Amino acid sequence: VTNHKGVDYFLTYDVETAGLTNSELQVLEKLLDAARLAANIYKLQRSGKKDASFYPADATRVEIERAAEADEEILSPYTVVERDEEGKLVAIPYHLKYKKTLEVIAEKLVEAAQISNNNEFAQVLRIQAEALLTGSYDKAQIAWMSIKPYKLSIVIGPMERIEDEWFFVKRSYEAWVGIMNQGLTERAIEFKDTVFSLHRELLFPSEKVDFMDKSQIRVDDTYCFAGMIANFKYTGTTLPNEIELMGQFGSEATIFLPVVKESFNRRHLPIFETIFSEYFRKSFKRSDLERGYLYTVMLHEIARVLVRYKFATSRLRELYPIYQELTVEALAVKLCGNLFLKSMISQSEMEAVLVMFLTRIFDYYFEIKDSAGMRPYVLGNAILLNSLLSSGALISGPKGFSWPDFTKMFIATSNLADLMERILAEGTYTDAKDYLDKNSTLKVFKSFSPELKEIVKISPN
Amino acid sequence: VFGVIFRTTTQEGKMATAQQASKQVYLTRQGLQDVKGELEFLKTDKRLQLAKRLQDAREMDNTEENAEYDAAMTDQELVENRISELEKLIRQAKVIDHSTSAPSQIITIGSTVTLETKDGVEEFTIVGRTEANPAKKKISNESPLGSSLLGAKKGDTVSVSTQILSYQCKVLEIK
Repeated sequence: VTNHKGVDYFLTYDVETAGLTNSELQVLEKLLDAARLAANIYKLQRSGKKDASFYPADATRVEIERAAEADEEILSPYTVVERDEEGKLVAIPYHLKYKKTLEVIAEKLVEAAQISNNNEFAQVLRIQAEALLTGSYDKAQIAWMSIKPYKLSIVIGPMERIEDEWFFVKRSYEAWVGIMNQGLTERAIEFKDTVFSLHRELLFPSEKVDFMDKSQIRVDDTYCFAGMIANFKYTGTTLPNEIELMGQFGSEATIFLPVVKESFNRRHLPIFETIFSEYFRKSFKRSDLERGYLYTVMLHEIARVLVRYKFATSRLRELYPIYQELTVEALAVKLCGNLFLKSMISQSEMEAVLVMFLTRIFDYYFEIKDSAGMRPYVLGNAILLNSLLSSGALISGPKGFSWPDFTKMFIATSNLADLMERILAEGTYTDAKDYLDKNSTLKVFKSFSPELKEIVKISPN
Repeated sequence: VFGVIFRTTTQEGKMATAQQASKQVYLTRQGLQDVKGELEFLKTDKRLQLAKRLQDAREMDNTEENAEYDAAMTDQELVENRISELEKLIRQAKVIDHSTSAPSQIITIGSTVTLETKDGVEEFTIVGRTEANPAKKKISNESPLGSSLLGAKKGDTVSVSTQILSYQCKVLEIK
């Protein structure tokens, strides 16, 4: 990975480009330029405050809510809220607020389209360029999902809403450019198709949005990350975020392979070596754990497709991502068992997935004070860890966790996944808040603090 | 590692079936056709393609360091290995044909089964390991689930228990 001096929130990865044609290489460079510029917009979004500034620094949450009653654009995903000369709150569309930079980005995308020999991909680039200038983001996402799987992929624009801690609405700018990894993409598709062959009993079918038959997954050798995704370095993501679009057009998950590798080497392997007793550690090979970590990431993104409920975001508001991520993570464990029963993965692969699932629980804990975007994950992970300890699946000793009881782990995570899904499907805001208050104590992490803090020092995110 | 059957009625019989199954190569009629088709393709079209590729590579460069020639040679070796593998498979194959007989009362290799589990309903066919492709609803008779189902009847509740995972399902239908 390369950080680029003078350009914040922009990372490039050293990936294999030998399989690309000359014109594809030229396209790639144009896309890289476009992504680099998107990083500048994200920097502007974050300026002035520690976290993303979607609202004026002096505004209160209540004031925003009140203003939104009179003008719904105040809580549009794609507007910045500012004060006018009289101090009144006004909403400015992103495509006007960042017009200058967006025009240059759009130019780069159009230039890439002109070079590309793939007509469908070129068309997507043109639609993405138009979306940035006009705000027609849905159209761009539909076009991106609808093309036949192609080696190159770019996502660019205001996408993720996790940094809007108040309302979980406003989107942060980001971009990524990737080159499809054919072999691992095929493996991920096999996992997806095997998992989806089970017609799940639907909890509250009227609430559920089912788009399994229209969901796609790809594993990319990521070429660059820009904007919010460069800040948080997700290992995988699923788009679109709008439930209505998903129901109609399906979804596309992307696994970012270099980030998975980096995350394994710099965080999860050291966490594994810290939290487990030596006796347990000796029974795992590094290569098995690395594969296990990749499979965990794949299963997490596949599980996302199974738990989408129509009104969950409006009911649970800022608590939604906590429940969504937790349900998905617990469900991924269940799905891993399903793959094993059908011999899609071996027992040692399943055990590696379970071990890496445990290391993921400690992810982000030490960044919580610095990053609002990671808070939902940390709280969800605390619920998971508390549940595993209280079920006896994990027993913490003076030298770390002893051998986990995988059988109890399956039962505990499966029960938790069911309970969390119920809250997503029909829970009220109060239900969600009460459960969270009772079960998300962070105390559980503290006994590991000294050792894990060292890891964070060695490998800052 | 693999499934231990908890249903007591035919426990010994089922374990014997599973053990026997693991020594033989079971193929459905369609599976055998697919194998023969692949073999035919490799022995004719693919061999011809490779021969031409090798010839072109030779003509392109006579030096010892000819990457394309080396790559073609490697591919040729892979193809010949695959041909041997498929020929052996055909010799050892035991064909399971459910298309001409009445649906079996018990689950055997080749049965298409519908199961009900805690999470929902699913249908798949139990096949030999060479044909197995869970993503296409073909489960190996040697998988924990497949081996535990062999010998079960419609209406049975089957428990699959491995070292670390227990699972229960009910047989709704056998085709």
